[in-house]
Amino acid sequence: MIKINNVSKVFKLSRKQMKDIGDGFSSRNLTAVDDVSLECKSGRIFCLLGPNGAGKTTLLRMIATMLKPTQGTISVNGFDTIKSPKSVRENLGFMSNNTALYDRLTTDEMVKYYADLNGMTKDEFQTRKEELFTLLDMHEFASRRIAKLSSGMKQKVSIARTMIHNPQVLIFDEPTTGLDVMTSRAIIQLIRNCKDDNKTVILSTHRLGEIQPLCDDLAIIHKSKLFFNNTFDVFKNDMQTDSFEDEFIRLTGEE
Amino acid sequence: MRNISIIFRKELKDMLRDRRTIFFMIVFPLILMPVLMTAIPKLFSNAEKKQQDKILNVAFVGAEYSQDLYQQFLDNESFIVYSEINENEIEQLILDDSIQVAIVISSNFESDIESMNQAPVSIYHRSADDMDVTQRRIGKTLDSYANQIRSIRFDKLNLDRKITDPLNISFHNFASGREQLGKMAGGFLPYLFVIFCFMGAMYPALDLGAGEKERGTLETLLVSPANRLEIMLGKFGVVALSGFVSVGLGFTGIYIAISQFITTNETSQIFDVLTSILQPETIVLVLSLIIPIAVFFSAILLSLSIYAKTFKEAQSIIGPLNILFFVPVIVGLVPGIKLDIITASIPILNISLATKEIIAGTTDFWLLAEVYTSMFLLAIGSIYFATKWFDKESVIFRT
Repeated sequence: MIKINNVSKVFKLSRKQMKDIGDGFSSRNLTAVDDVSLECKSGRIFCLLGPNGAGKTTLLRMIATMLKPTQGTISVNGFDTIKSPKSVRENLGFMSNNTALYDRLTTDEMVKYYADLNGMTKDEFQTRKEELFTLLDMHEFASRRIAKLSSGMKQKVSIARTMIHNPQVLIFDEPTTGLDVMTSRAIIQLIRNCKDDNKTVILSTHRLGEIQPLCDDLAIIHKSKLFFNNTFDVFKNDMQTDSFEDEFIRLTGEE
Repeated sequence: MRNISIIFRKELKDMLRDRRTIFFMIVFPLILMPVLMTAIPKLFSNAEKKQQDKILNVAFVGAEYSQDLYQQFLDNESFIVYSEINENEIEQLILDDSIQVAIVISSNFESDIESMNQAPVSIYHRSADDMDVTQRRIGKTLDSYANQIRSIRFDKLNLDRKITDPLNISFHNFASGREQLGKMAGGFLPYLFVIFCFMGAMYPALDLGAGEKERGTLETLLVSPANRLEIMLGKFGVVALSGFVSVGLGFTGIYIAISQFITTNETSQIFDVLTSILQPETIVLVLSLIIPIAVFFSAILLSLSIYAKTFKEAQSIIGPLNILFFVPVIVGLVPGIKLDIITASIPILNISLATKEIIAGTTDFWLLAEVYTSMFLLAIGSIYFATKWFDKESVIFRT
């Protein structure tokens, strides 16, 4: 369970950053997330939809304790992200769209590193590793260095690393961006399994089409503000246009 | 502590599999530096020997005006002397390299010598890159002739040679061989240590900071239960160890170079002095000075690296920085600058000066204590800075 209450994030900009933004941007402050409140429930998949630069990644980073909210509170499985960041991270698995692996480590070493950081015992690691490596068909390249793996294999290692400590909350930031059909399908299956295991799943994307079959709840974020927050069924029932893209444009008032 | 150890072990394993790091940490100090140290002087001495042994074609214009001087050149087997060359041909022949030197004396050479005047001798040559060996070789023959003439003149005038040498000087140096070498090599060694330490720490720092950011692995590491202080200290440990190991290997490399490759009499004396210097207490003292500098470099390099968005940007920030660190070391090489109450408090310069004193065996306890205190404070300050720096969102997620 994730509870987000009136969360905002304001970044202080340098002169160079102000200049880079352009369009006569004159404020030293950039609000990346503006007064957002959400609730992601266990056993449900929460989809966070918004274009690039909407504030999705900032919000996810605040949930994962990488960034501190300027205002508001976030709790993950009952732990406050400011007061108990370590407990939050122990309950969390975070997978970005980048596989984020160490080329010079082997698959085994890579997964073991994160198991160790999560305080798993040798036996716990062996059992969980066996389970994941079998599920993802990873045994064949367990002792191969990451640099020598194909992109599909790397994605599997990234999943195993994220899931090794069996976290209760999972965050997937643009999980299928740039992946081939087979790997995308494997990830979607894995997300479904998480839901079946009663885990809390947040899925962030800028294209709803490919993940909409997974979606239980939906939030639309645009220009740092929340425009929609309800179940996906309500979203579909209330649609006044023919496609998700058109509905998104209608809701956000963009042309 | 557990997480620091996990991160340290992982980073160490990862780093030892990186060829660039291995080169700068192991190959550079252990092999390359000793090779350079022995090969470059050898190259110079070989080049000089080649010049010394080279047969010179010498034109002697005016041989008929001084048979004695002409004979001196003929007697020298390293010269082939030509006496039938006109003065106006000299320039072209030298430019063509048909001859290397021309000596021109005038018709009244003998009479000038006889009348105790100065006889003009013109020497033409083309020396730009042969280390003045040609000039020296010709000068030696002319000096020998001039000495003969001087002796004849002194005898003629019934004078003693002491008249022109009023002082009989002899130097008696009470400084031990260790002291003399210490003050000389002691200035040079810290320079090498700083290079080894900086180079050894640089690549791991680049990889563990900016490299991790660029690969996207930093984000996943930040989501692990390890906190930022633990992440920073785990990485910092590897960077500092790498800098320190480089210095240790540098020491070993120099020792091997001196003991194995340099075999002349002169250097075997140096080796004897070096062996007397390389006592356990000296090594421990010098290496203990390197620890705070390795800590300081590592904390600063890691902080700069984590600030950069990419590996390339980190390189462009850190590259010019080494000049800044080397300036105090170079200042320590300036003659007359000694370890005193002021210089002992200036970081890096104090390392340079204290190493000189330790190697020379002339260490003052209180000044050394001041050096340690200054460097210890600098090391602690740099770790504190790196810790705070790692905690800044604007640094870790700089865009």
